[in-house]
Amino acid sequence: MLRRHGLFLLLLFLHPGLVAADDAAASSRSELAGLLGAGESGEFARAVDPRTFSFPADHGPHEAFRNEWWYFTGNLDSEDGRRFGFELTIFRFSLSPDPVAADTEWRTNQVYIAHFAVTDADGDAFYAAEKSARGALGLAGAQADPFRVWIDDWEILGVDDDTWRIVAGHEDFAVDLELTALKPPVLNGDAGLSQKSDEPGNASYYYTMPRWRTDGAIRIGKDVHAVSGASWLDREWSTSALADDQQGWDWFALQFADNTELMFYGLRKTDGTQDPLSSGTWINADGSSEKLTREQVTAEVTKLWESPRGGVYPAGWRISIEDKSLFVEVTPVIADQELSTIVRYWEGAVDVSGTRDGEPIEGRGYVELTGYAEDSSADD
Amino acid sequence: MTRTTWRASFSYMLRHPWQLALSLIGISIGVAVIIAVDLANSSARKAFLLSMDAVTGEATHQVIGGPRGVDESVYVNLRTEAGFEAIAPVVEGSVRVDGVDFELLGVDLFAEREIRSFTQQPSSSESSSDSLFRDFLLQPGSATMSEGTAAGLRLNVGDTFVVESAGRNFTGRLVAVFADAESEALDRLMTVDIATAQKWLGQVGWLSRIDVRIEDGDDATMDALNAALPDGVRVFDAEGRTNTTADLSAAFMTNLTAMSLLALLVGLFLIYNSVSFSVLQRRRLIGVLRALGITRRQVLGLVLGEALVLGTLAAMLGVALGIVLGEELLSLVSRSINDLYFRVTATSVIVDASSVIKGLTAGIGASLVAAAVPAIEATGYQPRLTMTRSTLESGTRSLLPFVALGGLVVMLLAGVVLLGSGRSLVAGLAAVFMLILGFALCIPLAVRYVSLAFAPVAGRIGRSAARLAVAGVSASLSRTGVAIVALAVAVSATIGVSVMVDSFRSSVSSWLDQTLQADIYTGVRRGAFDPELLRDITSLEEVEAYSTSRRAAIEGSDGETQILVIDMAPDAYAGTELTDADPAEVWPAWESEDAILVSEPYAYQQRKQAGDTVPLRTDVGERDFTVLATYRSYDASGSAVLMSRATYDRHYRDDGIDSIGLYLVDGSDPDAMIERIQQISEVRQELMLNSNAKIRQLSLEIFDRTFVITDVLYWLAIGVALIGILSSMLALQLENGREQGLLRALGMTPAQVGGMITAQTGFIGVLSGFASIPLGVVMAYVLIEVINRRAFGWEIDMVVAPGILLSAILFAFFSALAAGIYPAWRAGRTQPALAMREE
Repeated sequence: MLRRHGLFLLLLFLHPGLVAADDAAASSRSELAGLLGAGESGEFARAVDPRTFSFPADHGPHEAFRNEWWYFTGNLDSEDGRRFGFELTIFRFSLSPDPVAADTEWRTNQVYIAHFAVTDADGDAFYAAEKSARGALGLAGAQADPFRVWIDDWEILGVDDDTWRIVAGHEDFAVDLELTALKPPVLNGDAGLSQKSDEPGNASYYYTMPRWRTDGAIRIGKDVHAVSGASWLDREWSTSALADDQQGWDWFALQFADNTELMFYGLRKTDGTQDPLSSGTWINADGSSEKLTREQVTAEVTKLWESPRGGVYPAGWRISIEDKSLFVEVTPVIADQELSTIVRYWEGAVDVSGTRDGEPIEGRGYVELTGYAEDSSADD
Repeated sequence: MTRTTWRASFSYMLRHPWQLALSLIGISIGVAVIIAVDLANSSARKAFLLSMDAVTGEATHQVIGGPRGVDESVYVNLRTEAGFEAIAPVVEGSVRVDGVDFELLGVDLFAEREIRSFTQQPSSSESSSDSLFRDFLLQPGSATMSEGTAAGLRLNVGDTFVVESAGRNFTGRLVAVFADAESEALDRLMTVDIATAQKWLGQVGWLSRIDVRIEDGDDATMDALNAALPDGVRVFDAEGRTNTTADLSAAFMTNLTAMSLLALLVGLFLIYNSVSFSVLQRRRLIGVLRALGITRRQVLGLVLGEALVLGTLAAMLGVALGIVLGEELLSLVSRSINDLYFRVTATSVIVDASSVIKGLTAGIGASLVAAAVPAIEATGYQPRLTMTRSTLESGTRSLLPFVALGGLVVMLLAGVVLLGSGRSLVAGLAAVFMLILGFALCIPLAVRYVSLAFAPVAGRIGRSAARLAVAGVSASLSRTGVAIVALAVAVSATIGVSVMVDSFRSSVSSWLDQTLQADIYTGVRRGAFDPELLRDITSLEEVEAYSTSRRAAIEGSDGETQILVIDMAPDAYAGTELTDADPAEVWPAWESEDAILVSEPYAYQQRKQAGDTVPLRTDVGERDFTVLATYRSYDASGSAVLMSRATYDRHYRDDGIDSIGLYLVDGSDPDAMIERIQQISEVRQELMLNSNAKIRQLSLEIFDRTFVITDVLYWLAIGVALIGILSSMLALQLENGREQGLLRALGMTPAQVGGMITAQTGFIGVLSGFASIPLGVVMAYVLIEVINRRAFGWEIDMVVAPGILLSAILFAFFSALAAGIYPAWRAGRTQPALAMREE
């Protein structure tokens, strides 16, 4: 998933044209293998064994690991019935396992990147922006208590134990939202250890807070809309990479009207098959959860969308989980929710509709698709 | 115009190749000097603007702070609180690598893409790009530069090098190079991470500036930015800042241009000489042509046409020559600009069409103007009338008083322009040229009277040959007069400039004597003293007292104010000469009040005097400082204000000290002391350490260096004048061939004829030399009192050293003699019969 492209993305940011335009995918794979799986990374901490999570400490940064992110997505409605989606992700990277010379305040090995996007379904419009900064001088950073993660004036901060606030804005779009956690953190994988390839340590620590009541405002151009809805937080940190034979990632975060949720990611291999390590988590209305294996979940692509910027994405799915008697169609609220940031990927709001135990069920969610863009370095 | 007339004209020129060649050379040099100076000036300016452009990038504005810069928390605040995105912090300064000055640009790569592109695009590096990025950010000393710059330092990617900054050595490592821009904009520029730059430049916690991009007309953003900045920090227009800096050198460049025009002016006399000679030579041919039905208008066209062809050829030659010469001048010009104004690295001239057009126009225009008088004269030739030389000369003679009167009027006008043009430098220079022109017009009449009066005397001294030689000068005044004028103008210019430079130098020298009160001066090249080292030095027992100084610059809306901050030792006050107030009253107030002293250049340029106030931006907002007095200063930075350390400390958060002056207890040996300080400072900080006498010598060396370019230009003008003499004497000799043949037939030996010619050129030289003195002295006065003042604001006491005047006369005499050698030798070889038959 995109999150794994983080360091690569950083490189592209600094070196436009680094990746050969005609074979971006292959190039990105070799870069990733080189960057994230080898070299100095041996000295970074690795996710090898399950650990004990502790909150609020684990909301804060884990700088011994190379990558980390705070990933908020949400579906919102305005009072006058307009449909919006938002994404605010803040990535953290350690550039070296060792601390650096503290000669001036600017010197640091901590780097932050953020992506911010808003979907205006009724306006058929999608807005995206990104920022990056060094984690120094207060320009960007993360802290557990009081909770705050920020780059410049984009920030996610704890108002009190259960209430957080998200503030971000860029030229013609902005959000200012207050979120209240409706469910406690859910540990994905094996008690929070999420294996990404067969190699030990090629794994992440991964928890989700799948439902936050969300109220606030979205600004599109000069129009400010009072909105409310539900958001989703993914937290992950690791020193791992995609394996050589992994191509990309399809990730689903679905919130059903009956207060249950589904997280599922499919790791795609270069030969087109799905990696056996793909997995998911089912979260019950009471907050309890169960791990889902690849065999339990099928996601059949029902529609394709060709990006005007190059590449063909799936644009509709039929997801079936026999064990849960769940059969749903997942449909993007608008087709083009591709972030034209330096690494191009699709991350968008979706509608869910189908049956659970034979009864009709509706839902909403977010889907992230990486590794589909062709010529993914051309847009910078 | 018929083909016949053109053919006649063409074959005439071919029959007099030396004359053609000398005219061509004379005009070419004039044009070449103009183009060379123009190219050197514009290339230096362009190099500066291009490099500023590259460094400024997309920034439209720059946030500037106090003497130390902008506190870095201001930047953080703009991003995290005020939400500005299109801003980038810059830590900038000058460092030395391998003895060469480099501009160090410290950037934050994360903010760069909004402002600059070149900092982000290395074209090659030794390592994979991830470790390049990591190194740049994490490894202190990682640097990038252009391919050309790296090649100049013989550095390959991966090499380390020593960087000297503020007397300390650091290790730099070239991690990548970026492609050279088409221009030299990125020459001698090194990019490093902002952390490295802060460390190297001793600016930890501070930014040099914050670059800002605000769309045109986005007043809301501008207002928000202004509101977000603390006191003492202000937004400036980026282009305005660049231009203000570039304009610092404008007066210097205007003066160079004026000097280059002088070469053309001298060339103008030369063209006049050639054309009028060619007309005289062909007076019979023209008479015949007129008789054949050629109209006056056609005669005019013929002569002007020739001048046009000649001028065009010469101008084109001059352009080529000028481009070559421009390369040479550029290094002199940029060195002076570096010494006096701002960093510029221009290594090759940028030839632009406008310089070439200027040169061509000047060359062709000058040819036509100079040819106009003889051309009009030629139209007066009557058909068939064979004019004799004597009728011609008598015609010339009768005009002389009117020409001289015209000259007087022009000189008077020059005086009016001088008095009425306020502070305009260009008008002042125009008046100088009018003075020269007016004086030049008076010279022929003076020459006539002098040579007539002197001929009998000469006869008594050197018999008939000498009398003939001297009288000949007057008799062929239409020819000799112009040669004398050309040489006199060139020599007078050297007198004017020499007296000016000499006076300037002696003023500077006596100012240095007074100013350098301390025994030893020591300082850090760029940056501040290590405070501990400073304490160790000043607490040495030989040190009786010491002064400290700090140079600071405060930017205001109309440019930068240089502040010289001094904490004076008791004996130091006497080193500052106040020109308009009582020291006993001034100094106590200067130490304790919000008050300053202004340098003479500052006082002139800013029109400030005792009692006025000067507004300066301080850390707590803008404050008015009272001017207590004007002080004499020939400091290279020129326009500055003097502030006491106490006053400075009350207004600025900056405890830096650049240099100190040490007063030793009686009987201590300064040289031993210097050695001692060297030992103390070694390994800690490299200091510039000089005795009183040494620093005086160094200052004068820099002074002399600044005027090298002036010398070069005047030698070029003299070269043109000498070609004029050679050309005149050859022409005379050709004209008088028959006369000389007659003299030979009458029994004069070749040596006697040659000697007569030599005597004549010598006399011309002496006349030129004497004629140049009054003009030279007046010119020196105008250069000192008007031009120098308007250009730089310095007060200089004029000193006319007799040696300069004497050497001018000797110079004129010998150079004329030298120019006369070849004509004399030729004249001696004249075959009596042949020469007489020629007519």
